[in-house]
Amino acid sequence: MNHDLPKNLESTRNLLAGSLQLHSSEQAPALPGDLLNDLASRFSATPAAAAPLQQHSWLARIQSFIARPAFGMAAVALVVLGVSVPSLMDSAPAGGFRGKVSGTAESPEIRIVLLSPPTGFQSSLVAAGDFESSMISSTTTGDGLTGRRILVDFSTATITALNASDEKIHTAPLPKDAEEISAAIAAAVSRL
Amino acid sequence: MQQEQLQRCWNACWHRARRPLEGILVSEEQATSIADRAIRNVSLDYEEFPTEAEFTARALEETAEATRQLVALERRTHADHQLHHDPADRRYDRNLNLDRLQRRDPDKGFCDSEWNHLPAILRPLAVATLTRKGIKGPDAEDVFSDTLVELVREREGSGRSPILDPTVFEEIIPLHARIVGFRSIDWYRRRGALKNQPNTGDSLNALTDNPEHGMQFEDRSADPQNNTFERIYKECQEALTAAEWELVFILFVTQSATIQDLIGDAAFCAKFGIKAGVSLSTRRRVLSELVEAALEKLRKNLIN
Repeated sequence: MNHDLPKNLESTRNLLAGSLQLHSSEQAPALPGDLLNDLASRFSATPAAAAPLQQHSWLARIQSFIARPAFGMAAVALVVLGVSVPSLMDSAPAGGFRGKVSGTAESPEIRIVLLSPPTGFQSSLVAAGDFESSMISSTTTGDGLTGRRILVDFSTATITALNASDEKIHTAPLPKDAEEISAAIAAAVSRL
Repeated sequence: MQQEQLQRCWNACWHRARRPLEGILVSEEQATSIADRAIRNVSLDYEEFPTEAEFTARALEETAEATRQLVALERRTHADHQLHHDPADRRYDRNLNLDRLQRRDPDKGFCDSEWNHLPAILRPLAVATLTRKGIKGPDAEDVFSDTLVELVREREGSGRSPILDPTVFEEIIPLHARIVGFRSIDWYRRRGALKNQPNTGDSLNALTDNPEHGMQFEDRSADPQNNTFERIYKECQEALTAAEWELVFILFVTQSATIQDLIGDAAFCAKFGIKAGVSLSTRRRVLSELVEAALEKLRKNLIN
């Protein structure tokens, strides 16, 4: 740092200095080469310097996949969306990209619309990783929406699946346990 | 985006995945997998690489959340609430079953027998905090009882009890520490001892119920999670410009360069309007003033 500061700013500097909360007794493994290369190409930066590419065995990749957060729920969603096998068999590294770039599960035709969700629910659902973030949106009313969609209505506590003709294919109560909502949405998706 | 920036972000995320909060320790293999995925996920939110500070803050946030979710899921799956608990954490004996603590009967409320074990875990930690604040004996017991009630009291705005917030049991400890801090302020206010002192604000009720009211961190040390970079960035993001964030991030957070290094970097100085031809002493003076101004803004934001 090498920077003299007024005394009243030292605590702020110290706060920042410890804010990454690194543990000096441990050292992080090398940055995965495939991650570096993928990000370099995504952000169109100068091609990354040759970093040792970590080769993952098929078994290691499967183990890594299983170890991911919310694997159980994700597995349901992946099966439902019918693209789990390609996402595992391609050369993408563990985790993969979410969104359009990803080879992971996505069904762009189906939208998950949260009607008047509690604050932070959408981000929690996205963070759970069971659905692509691009599938999920929030609004206050389901009026005017078209296409195949899942309406998760928090005011009526219902989950409704509608096809492209606006026919109700499936209706279920919204689980009271927030942990079960993701699975209930996946079940609704499976009906479309 | 430079390789060094990503390397620093990777290191930070890996360490955060290993220990997303005090008391949790995840295996190195799982930490590697989570950090990899978190960084990839965050990158999808940007068409261009943002500032290193912003990208790192977002990646850390995603990493910590994903790790908490993973720990909660595995504990549930294996019915082992001690799974991933850091053996070096000696603050209390064993974790409780968070799902049972969060189970709410429509008629009786939070009445699972698991609650019988919670006071024994929280009391020593709370009494130590209250003693430090000068609240002892029966007064401390009264405040402690209030804090337990506070854990299950539904907030007026959301109708949600604080006990429902944690994803893993270890989060209850800092959550309760915050409540203890606020309740101790209420106690002092009732005693009239803190009249007209700054930074005592409203009661916990007002602070947590009113979404327009900024949360006051009268004692950041009570919760180490308050001091993570992602939390600081989230709280103060708009207080600094992108260039100011870059400055304090490089100098103080990652400490990847000294002020001397930056003075010698004409391209970096140009971001702050310092022309290439100016003397090194002028560059030092200008950068020093910018650093102090940025830190002052952060200081004010963190105590307001």
